Amino acid sequence: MATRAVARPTRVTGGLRLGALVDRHFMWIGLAPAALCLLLVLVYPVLANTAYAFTNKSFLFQDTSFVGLKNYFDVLSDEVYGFWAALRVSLIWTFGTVAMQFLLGMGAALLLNQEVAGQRFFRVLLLVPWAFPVIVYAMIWRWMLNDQGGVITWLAVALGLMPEPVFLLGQPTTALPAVMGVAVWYGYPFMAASLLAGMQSINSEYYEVARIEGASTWQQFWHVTLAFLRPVIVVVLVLRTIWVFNAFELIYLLTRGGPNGATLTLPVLAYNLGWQQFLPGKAATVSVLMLLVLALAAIAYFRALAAQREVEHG
Amino acid sequence: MAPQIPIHQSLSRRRVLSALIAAAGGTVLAACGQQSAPAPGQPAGGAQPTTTGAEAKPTGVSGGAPVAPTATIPAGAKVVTFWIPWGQPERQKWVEDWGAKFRDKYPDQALKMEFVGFANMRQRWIAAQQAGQMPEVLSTTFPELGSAFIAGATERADDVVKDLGGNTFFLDAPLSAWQYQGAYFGLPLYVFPRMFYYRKDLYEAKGLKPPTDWDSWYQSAKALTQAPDRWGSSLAPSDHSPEVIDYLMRGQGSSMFDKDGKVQLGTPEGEAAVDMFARLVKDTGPQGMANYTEDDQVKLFISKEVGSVITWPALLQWVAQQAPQHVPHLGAILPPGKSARPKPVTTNIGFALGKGSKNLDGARKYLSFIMQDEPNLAFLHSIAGVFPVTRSLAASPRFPEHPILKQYPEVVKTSLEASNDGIEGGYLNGFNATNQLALTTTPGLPEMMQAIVLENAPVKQAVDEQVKRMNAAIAQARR
Repeated sequence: MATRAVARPTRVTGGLRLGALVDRHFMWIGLAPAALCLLLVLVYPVLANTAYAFTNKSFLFQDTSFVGLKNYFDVLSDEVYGFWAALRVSLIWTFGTVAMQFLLGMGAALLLNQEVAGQRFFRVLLLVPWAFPVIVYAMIWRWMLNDQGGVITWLAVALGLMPEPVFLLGQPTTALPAVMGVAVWYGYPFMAASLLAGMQSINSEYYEVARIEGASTWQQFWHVTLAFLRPVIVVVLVLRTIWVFNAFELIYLLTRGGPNGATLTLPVLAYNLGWQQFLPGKAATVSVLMLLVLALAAIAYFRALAAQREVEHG
Repeated sequence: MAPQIPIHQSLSRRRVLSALIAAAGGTVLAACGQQSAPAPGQPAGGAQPTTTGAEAKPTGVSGGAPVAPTATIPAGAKVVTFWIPWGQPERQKWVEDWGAKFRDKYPDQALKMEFVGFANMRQRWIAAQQAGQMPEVLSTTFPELGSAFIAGATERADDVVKDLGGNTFFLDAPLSAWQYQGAYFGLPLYVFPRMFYYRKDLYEAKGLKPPTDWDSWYQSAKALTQAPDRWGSSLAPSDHSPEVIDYLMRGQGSSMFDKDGKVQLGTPEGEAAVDMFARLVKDTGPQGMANYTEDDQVKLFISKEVGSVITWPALLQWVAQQAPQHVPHLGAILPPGKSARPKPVTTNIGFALGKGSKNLDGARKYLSFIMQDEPNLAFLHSIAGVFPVTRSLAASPRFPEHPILKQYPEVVKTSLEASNDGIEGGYLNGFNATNQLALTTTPGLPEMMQAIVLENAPVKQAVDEQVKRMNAAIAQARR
């Protein structure tokens, strides 16, 4: 009896302890599955990729070994890999595309924020580019830009903008702007939708006060609209910058990085090194360098945001 | 009441947690249960008899790739998983139909088709090799299967080739390509030559004859060019630039690589080939030609007045369907050589056996079955424009009886001769581990051509830079 009397409370105490432990850490226990999934699908690939960058791994030959920083030296110093040219193209492509998307998105959002007839229709229309898979619109744009009967080329010649049909995707000087044009067409609705949502959350009283104070339309835009939109702007610019910098499909489908490397961005270079040259070590190196570039961009953006907040809050 | 709240909360949390754990456990058990009785949609599964119902249907997803509809897989059957590259319904139907007949002949075997596509085959075999999930059979291009063999993803196919009869069964040239260091890394299914197709009516209207050498080739293309309405040639420095350059080098008694795999592009023959290619693009094609894809150049040839194109024989079907008025006027010859008749450049598609797959015996039976005349002919006729690799079909009067091929008796005859004699572009001296790497550098041969055509880069300088890249790719592989 005595033994049972002792043993029973021990089990109960153990159960209570476990229960208390669960209670205390319930949040972490609940989050654990999601965190585990994130570790598997996000952290592991990044770590594996980073590790590959220090090896001479090849998909073709089995003898993988550690090579230290050799891949970095090779990619950064040997012009046969074309890293610096691809970085230059990537930066022009990213900042040019994001800037154009932003300006066009802002213009569209300002227009759609007005009380005009058919406002809903135009808002739906804004989403049309997103309704198509990239392969479909890339092929359509390729045809429209073709010099042998493409409608855009035909129109440009008819309007006297081109003396003769020119395949814009086929010229080193025009290929990148043409690809950027297609990317702007596809991406500006995201900017517009995000900015429009931000604009609609601004209390109209601020505009009324500004008008009473004698602010012009431009001053209202600058001191009210832009001031309140700043956090949204920073977020959409960071997101679009990351997406556009990493964009692969559109460029690959339109030009495959050509002509003569005019649209060869870092993701296309990484793809070519990994899947055409069977060199995942070199491809991983390029993607780690891409990660560094993006990290710099993200830090710069968030510092700007923090500085802005400090100014706002004194 | 107050003390009861935390008790209630803690009980509730524990219950939630218990329920979640139970659900997760149940899911794991259910998944384990499925593994012990594999569904037909699962990869491989091979030699282990299935215990599912006799009429179980594939799930539609397997290993992340879309699965074309396959015949039902009966209980107890050993599965031959077949990765196919063809997206065309006609070819998928062929796989299905002859898979059913294969099963009639071997009741313990069943074929499971998975559509992978030519473009995705590399990613799939690399991933499958790492995961130990290679299929029993895969079909794709000759260089791709050669790479898979070097990487250790596929088995030797010597016994299948031998069982079929080796050189007495296959044509010499199409079979010889499939060897690496004395082993067959696969076996051919079909072949097609890149031919010089030309419009006889346009040539005759100008009083021109089909070209016989580089001079007459260039001069006739130039004479036909009347921009922007008529072009002498539709020859793009696209992804297939290596084949065109190799053709032009073969036409001088040279080739892209020597027998040791050394790059020959920097030789005088290589530079002359590149120069000829560039002149044809610049002087006899439309302005945008430098960045046309192969599809673009073929569309141009079909839709406009264009004198000539070097492309694959799928053109025959496209012309018959999209521009039937040109059918009687279509001629085909080997691209003219400068100082020698070029050895035809072909594209070779074949089979390989997945290493470590569970039903290799079934795979060998399937390949031996499918290469017989009836199924092989049915494949060749599923879409016109591919040519046989077996002696019996190459000599058979039944092969040219396809409704589309019948319209081009002369073209088919010439193409058959080229198929029987041709070797893959870039591999004239046999398969080599590094040739493919050298052919696909970044930037590559198409970009070299674009630099010459669009930016007037001197041929020698552009070629030297490209040779440097190709040698770097080879050195990298041989590190």
